Amino acid sequence: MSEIIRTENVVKTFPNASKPVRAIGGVSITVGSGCLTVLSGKSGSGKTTLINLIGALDRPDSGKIWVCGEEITLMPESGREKLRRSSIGFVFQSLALFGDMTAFENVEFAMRIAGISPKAGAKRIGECFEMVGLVNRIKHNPQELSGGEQQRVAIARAIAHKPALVLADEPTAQLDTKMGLQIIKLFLTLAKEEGITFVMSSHDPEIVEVAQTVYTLKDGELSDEL
Amino acid sequence: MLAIAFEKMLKNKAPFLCMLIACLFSVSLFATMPAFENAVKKRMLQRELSQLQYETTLPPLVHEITVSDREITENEGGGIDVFETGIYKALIPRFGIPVIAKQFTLNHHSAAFLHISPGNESSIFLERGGIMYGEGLFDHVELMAGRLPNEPGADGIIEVVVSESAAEKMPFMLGSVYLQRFTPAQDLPSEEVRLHVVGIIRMADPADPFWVTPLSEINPYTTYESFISTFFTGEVSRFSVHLTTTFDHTAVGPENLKAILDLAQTENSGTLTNMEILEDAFKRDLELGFYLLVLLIPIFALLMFFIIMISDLILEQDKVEISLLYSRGAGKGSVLAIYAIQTLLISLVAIAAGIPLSLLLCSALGASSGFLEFVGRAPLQVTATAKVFGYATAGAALFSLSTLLPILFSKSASIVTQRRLKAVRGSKPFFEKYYLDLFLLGISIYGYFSYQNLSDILTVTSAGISEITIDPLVFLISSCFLMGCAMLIARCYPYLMRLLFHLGRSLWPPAIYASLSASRSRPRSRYIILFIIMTASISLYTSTAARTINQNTLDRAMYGIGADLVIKERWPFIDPNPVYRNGKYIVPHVKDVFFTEMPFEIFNEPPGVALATKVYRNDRTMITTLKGINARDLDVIAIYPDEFAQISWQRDDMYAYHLNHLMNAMSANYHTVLLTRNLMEQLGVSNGDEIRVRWENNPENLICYVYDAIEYFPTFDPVALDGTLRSLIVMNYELVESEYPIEPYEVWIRKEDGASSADILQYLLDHRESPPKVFESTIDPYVRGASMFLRTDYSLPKFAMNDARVKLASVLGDPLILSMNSFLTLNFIMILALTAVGLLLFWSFDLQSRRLQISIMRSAGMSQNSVIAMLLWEQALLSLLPLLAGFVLGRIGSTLFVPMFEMGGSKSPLAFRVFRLSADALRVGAIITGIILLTIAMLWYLASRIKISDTLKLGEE
Repeated sequence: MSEIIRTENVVKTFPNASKPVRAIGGVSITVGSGCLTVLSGKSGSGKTTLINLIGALDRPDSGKIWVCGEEITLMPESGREKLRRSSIGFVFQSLALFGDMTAFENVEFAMRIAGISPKAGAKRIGECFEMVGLVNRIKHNPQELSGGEQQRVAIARAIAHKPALVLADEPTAQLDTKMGLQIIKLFLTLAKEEGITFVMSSHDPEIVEVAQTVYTLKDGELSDEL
Repeated sequence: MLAIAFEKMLKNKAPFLCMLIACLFSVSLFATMPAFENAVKKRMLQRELSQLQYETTLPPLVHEITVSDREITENEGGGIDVFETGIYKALIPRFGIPVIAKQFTLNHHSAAFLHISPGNESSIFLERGGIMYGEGLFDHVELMAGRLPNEPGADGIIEVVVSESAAEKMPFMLGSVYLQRFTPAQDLPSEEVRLHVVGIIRMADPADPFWVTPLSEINPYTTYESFISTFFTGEVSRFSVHLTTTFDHTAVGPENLKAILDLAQTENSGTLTNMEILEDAFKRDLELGFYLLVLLIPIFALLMFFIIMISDLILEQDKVEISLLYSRGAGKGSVLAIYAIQTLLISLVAIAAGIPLSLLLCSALGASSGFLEFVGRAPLQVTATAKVFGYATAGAALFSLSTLLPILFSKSASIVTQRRLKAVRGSKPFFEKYYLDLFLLGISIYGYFSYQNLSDILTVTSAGISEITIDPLVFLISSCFLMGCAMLIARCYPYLMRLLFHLGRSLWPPAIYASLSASRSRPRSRYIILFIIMTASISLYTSTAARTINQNTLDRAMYGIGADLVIKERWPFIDPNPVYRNGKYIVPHVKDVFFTEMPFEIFNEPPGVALATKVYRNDRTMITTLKGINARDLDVIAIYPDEFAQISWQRDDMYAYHLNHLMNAMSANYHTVLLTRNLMEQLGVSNGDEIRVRWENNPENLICYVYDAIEYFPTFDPVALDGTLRSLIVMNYELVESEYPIEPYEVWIRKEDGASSADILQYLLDHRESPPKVFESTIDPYVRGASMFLRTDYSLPKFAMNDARVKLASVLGDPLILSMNSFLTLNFIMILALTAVGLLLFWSFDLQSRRLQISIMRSAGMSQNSVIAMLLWEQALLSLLPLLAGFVLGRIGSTLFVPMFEMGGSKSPLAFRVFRLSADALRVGAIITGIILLTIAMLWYLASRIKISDTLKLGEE
């Protein structure tokens, strides 16, 4: 299993009016490809910050990060955009579908951003919806879908361009337990069938149990507690 | 509740500020209407009264009350004060107008004066007259001879003074004693009074307002004591009391006009001069109010959309906060109360700031000299009346309702439901939901065709050359059309976007893909589309309407005058058969006398004159055709074609061919004539036919050849006052002057640029030698109403001048035209201001609400440049395209409806033409494009500041 993510002593501090907040304090982790890794910890432990750093959405104050073999810490913005376009997919807690587009168009749009041609894309979109089990709902708008369905569309969108890595920040937070577990099951299936690495944050113990690797964060640092 | 409301306002300053701006717009616009209307009405009334004063040299607002043969009693003070108490003090102040002067006179009834010699009762009988007393009169006279009267002496002879005219006419002689016999009261024996003329007086200053009634040319004046002791019996006394009060007419306005009219029309309230002007003004006030209201309909509609859009944006932003409140157990009433407190505070601030702003706006608008012109006029005098406050409050109330009603009718969604519905696209705009577009279009189509039918049925008559203005009904119908079409386009817009999206689906890059998706889906964006279409179309339509009205008004005026200057001069004449009636000379007809021509060369001499020409006219021409068909009492204009073409005012649509073509034909052969088409049909002649022309008093026929038919000719009105068609012959003056005795002609002048008409006239007066005084009359040389050419009073000016510049200034200075221009200017400016603010607010709110969406796009790898490109494409689709659609709609609207304004006024002698100024369209386009560019700059800045990680985190809140 090759290494897809590696961080070395990554530190991130957020300026605050009264006192700066150290969200991440010297975290070093590695994530192998094709598995499900969970970042667990309470709210405010730095999970989302770490995911943003790994996903090249933010830059650490110090330390280094490698994603898909490339060091992204000092990479220029254009390079980071390219990396996100080609190698990374995101799934957010807040569902975050584009309300102006149908489920199909949400995924198609992501493919367009990734630069995949419409012809090639059409087949892939169909496959993605099959994988997430929403073939009959592709023409619906997000507000016509349930929370779980919306999240599955978001997953379809995240995997449409066949990224090496999918980062999911609390993807099941707004779903009930049964739906949440279904999503995790989907992650595991996709990891197995597509070889996509999933890194997700969660504080749900049931989800933590099914992960292949778990990192626990506490006050911005790795902890041995679960 | 109060604490929550204040906390909310302090926390969310931006939305609070937006709501304040929206409320300020509403309050200012509402308050502007009554303030402006009031000021314009006052200006119109003042103008009429001042014009009257200028023409008559008399104060225009004078109240008179006369009490005679009534019971006159003495007050406790011993004087006839009851009249001041009973009438003046009670009635005059009730008018509520400041008094400039008053004249209180007592006038003994007239009887014959007998001039008696001292010690000799035989008398010389004089004219009848009455002895008078005038309060304060002696302070306003100048003593010509003798002295002012004293109190009566023991001999009972009262001292009097007389005016110069009375001394001459009666005549009263200084130092003489006169006798008058009179009956002091009914059933009393007659008495006599002796009066001693001690002085001759005249008015110290005839222009003094005191002298609204000048000094009597017959009656002598005495002191109060002399008058009362002689004529007051303590019971019914036979003298009259007369009170004349000169009011300050500048204090009369719409606010007090009704009260003045009501008081003046009550019984025993005396008479007020120029009541008909006041009554007309009152009637017109009601019409003007409606007229101005209609002109503001488009801006009110746009204001409504603006308020709804802003409220919707802010509520959208507050939905989470509101749903949190519901989730914590707050009822709808509590939520409503929080917003009610907020809107109340905003309303109070807006009223405080909005009223002064509207007054400033009105004042500035009143200084406008035309549509979008602000040169050289005094600003309007505007005041904040109770009506202004009322309207301002109404504006604030409208804003408050628009803000609170959506909350009232919204569903009390909990935070959970709210989060779930975060991707909700929003409901249809209300104008789509309730089919307002179809409703308005239906009204406009019905109105359009009904109006056309009405114009076919109406008998259109000309009342001479008079002003035209916007018909409120046409404006209403056209406003409905523009608004209805704008809404319909906004309704169809998503379908167009959908079509574009699908047509190029496989081709669109991410930026266009996202833009088209947004453009076709978001109901909120239909407001901005509607805004821009309405702005562009209404601005264009408004400017076309204003330009058309103004230009047609100017054209009519110029057509009526004919040239820069038209001068008539008094010509000497010999009347071979003078006629007198009751000793007065009867002015003859021009055809019955012999004139001496005044040398013409002088008219080309004054500096500032580019060219002068002769233009002869009469209305007693006859034509006979070779077939023996006659026509009589025709108008003729005889000209020198070459010069006339260079001097006269022309418009390129007046003739079938270019004017020069017709003038060249007339120059080539001076027997060539032009006839009006109706005359040619009446005579049964065609081009080239020979006709015989003569004046009624001349037996000699002039042989002429018809060259062509004309519809228009400068100064010719084709429709008479009684509605019949008039006919015209245009001839070459060379033919007339070679064959017929000379008759007076007009002199038409083209001025050089910047030349002064007053200087030209002065030159003529200074250099024109006085004509020989051929005509003499010993009876009464001045005859009122005599035409300029036949004036026999040599004290009158030699020249009468019609100055086009003065006429045009007067026409465009007409308060109704000015009001129209000002309100259309207000429309134009406010629409653009609303759009500017609306666009900036809308897009900044929109971007704020899409920060999460943009961050997700960025997280998916969309570059910053692509995001900017997406925003640019949205501007192109949602602002620029609607702008183009608005221009097209405005063009269609003005083509359909502006010609209908002709039907609203009296028929113009000149064809009504639609005028467009391309600068207006460019102006609107430039302003809106500028706003769009500003919006793009703002979006660029805001988008570049979005921190993806922060926004994604906030999205999960």
